[in-house]
Amino acid sequence: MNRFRTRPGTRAALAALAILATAAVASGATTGSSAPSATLVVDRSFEIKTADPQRAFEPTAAIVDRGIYDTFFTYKGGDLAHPRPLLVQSWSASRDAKTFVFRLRRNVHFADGTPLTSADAVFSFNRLINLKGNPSFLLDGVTVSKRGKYAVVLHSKTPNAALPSILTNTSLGIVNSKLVRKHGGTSAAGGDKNDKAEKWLNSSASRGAGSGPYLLQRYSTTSQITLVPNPRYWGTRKAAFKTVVIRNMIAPTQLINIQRGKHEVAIDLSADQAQTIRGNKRLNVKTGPSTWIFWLFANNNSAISSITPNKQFQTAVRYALDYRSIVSVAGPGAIQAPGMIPSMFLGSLPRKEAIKQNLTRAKAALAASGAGSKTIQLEFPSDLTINGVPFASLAQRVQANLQAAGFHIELAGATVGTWLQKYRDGKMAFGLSLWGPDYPDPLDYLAFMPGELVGTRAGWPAGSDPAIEKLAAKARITTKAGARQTVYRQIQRRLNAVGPFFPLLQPTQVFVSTRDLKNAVFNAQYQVDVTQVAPR
Amino acid sequence: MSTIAFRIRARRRGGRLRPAWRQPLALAGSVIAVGWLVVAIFAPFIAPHDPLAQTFAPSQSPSGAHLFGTDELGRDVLSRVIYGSRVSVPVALLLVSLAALIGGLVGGLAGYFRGLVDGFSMRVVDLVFAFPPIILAMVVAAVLGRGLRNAALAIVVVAWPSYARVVRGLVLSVGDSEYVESARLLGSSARRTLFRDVLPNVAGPVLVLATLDLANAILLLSGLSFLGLGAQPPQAEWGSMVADGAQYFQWWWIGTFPGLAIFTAVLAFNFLGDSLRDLFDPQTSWGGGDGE
Repeated sequence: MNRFRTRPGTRAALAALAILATAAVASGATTGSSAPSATLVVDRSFEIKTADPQRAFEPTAAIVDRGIYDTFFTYKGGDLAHPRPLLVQSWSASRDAKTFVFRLRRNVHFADGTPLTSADAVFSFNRLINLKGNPSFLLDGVTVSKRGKYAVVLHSKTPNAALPSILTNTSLGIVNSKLVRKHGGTSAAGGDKNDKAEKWLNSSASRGAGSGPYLLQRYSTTSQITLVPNPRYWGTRKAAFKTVVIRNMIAPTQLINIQRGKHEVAIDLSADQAQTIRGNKRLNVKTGPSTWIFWLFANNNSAISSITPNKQFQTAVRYALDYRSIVSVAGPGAIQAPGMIPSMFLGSLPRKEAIKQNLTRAKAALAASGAGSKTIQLEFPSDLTINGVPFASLAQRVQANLQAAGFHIELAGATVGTWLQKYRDGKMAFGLSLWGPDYPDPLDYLAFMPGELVGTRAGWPAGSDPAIEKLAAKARITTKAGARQTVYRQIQRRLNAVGPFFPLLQPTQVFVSTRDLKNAVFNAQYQVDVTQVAPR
Repeated sequence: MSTIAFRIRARRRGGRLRPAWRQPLALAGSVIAVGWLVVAIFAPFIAPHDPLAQTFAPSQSPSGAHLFGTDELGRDVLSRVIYGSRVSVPVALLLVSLAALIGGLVGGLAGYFRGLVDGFSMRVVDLVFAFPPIILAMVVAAVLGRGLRNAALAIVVVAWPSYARVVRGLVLSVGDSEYVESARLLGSSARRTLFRDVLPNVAGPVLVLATLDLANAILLLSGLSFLGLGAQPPQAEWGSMVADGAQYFQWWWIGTFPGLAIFTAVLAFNFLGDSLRDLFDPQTSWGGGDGE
């Protein structure tokens, strides 16, 4: 016993040594380990319906799914012009741009340790196609097959030079085929009826479904979604945050939060709101043109409305709108949308070609339509604010414009969910809507053609306008930039003349982040790429 | 005899009614409430501009030209606040009257007939009371669909049970009194007894409750409109205007003035209700009974 007894002085020295040793170990733990400790907060006005990558199509879902699932290609920072390989090691395309071979990295595995192979990619792509959901059109006319364990062949019926850009979309994120099948998922035909994996993918139990640096921990379409690091992430750029919280916040609350926030990002501030925080030294305030286009549509389906398919009625609407006053609702920096393709994309219409208000023409067309005395409901998502533009304000401005031309318009606001469902079901007669690009290529905007995704929603089936459909067919196979620009402009001019859509405005994109973040930039595809953002 | 008669008259004139109304809160409440009623009735003559006209520069701060500023669409906020009173005040009056009528009838029948009628109606009342009013009103408004009419109906659904409960209690106590029993023994019908002997005795407390409820109704209606379930755009309604203002915090005047309108109206009806309660309360010095 005596051997362990020490003198008081020695004990004090030992105690001091122990404290120093502990401090050294602790400091080593802090500096030596890369375990993330910060929380990234992303404030966003939610419109998410699901986080199931092959079903999801909303921008909020892209933020979430970018963290959880890897795609063949991705973008760096805010660049949308150059898709960069992520899961793909190398790739080649046939001369006619119809057949693409993608060779996958061999070191990728899902969060449960299962290796990611071509079978998972084929399963994910076929699941997307057969679910017949909102993003299914991304692979329209594309057949998927595997060549060995690590090569995937995509064959497109028509030339599809935009395929690498398309493959950056989070809806084409690769899921763990074994796990998803086990939880009711299928990639077979009839998936729209038989696939039961959505609920599981929307829960924290779905850890292992993706190969991204983050895992889904908490999921709510109304309050917040939480991501935590994937401890078995295959890549070199590990999760930089202990937690990523994506919160549902209206723009005014985002404005307050960001000013006192730490590691925080606000995506939906308006240009007016951005003006108020420009001088704040803790914040990075960036503005630029948004890729969103806000538009109005009149359903062409006579079974939905007896008024809105009338071409005179549509002409009256087109020329009754005071576009300058509509644009003013979106604040400084917003511009009138001359066509459906945003100003920064190939094929966008020059601003001088934008429709101008012509009340005389509008009133004459309204009188000819015979709809002047009838009350028409204008439907809009009353709780949705995008780029700081509340749809409620936009709807009131549109109503005032139309009423000034003699229309009888009643506003019918609904929650985003209700509005979205009715719009997507093609049952909305007259409504406000918006379009954000799925990939930065004008090809995406052929969705507005008769019989295509949005065309169908507006009651415009295939065969409704052979002239525009002929142009669309030409656009699909045109590969040279100059020729593409010409044909897409022709399409939009025709769309502005006879289409059931009325492009309104292109708002300002404001992106605010606290200065304690690096790589926090706006990306139109992912809003903010949570895998690239890191604390300073 | 003449001395006693004189004293009773004196109490009625100077000792009973006047002091209650001389209270500062009662006076303030009356003035503000009457003020809002006047504003609501004469809105088209008072409002400087059309509340729906988007003709001015948007988001102007309060100035001589626009005392309450303009909103994000260039509408005059003062005119909208004035026209907003045409929704909040009359709708609140209407729906409180309706709730008092339905609740009073149910409570009266329950208290008078007792037994099965009482048991059944009071269980229904318990059922409604089990839910927080705003939640129940939101559910009803959401089921019926958005709009002012449905929001008002939703508020009636949540408001009537308090009247039923109060009236039932009063009818039970009044029903046991000797003069009611003697009236019934003399052959009065149930309807006659209820309306001639019982009703006058329950009217006072119901009036107090209704006045206090007016404040609740204005608040609830504004709350539903704030949540998008009540008045729909572009109608000027205080709750939806506050919701608009919440979208534009940087332009404080858009939400503040309609918020103040709600605040003053609610406060006024609360003051009025309190004063009425004091008036009918025998325990207060200016109330009835043995106060003096």
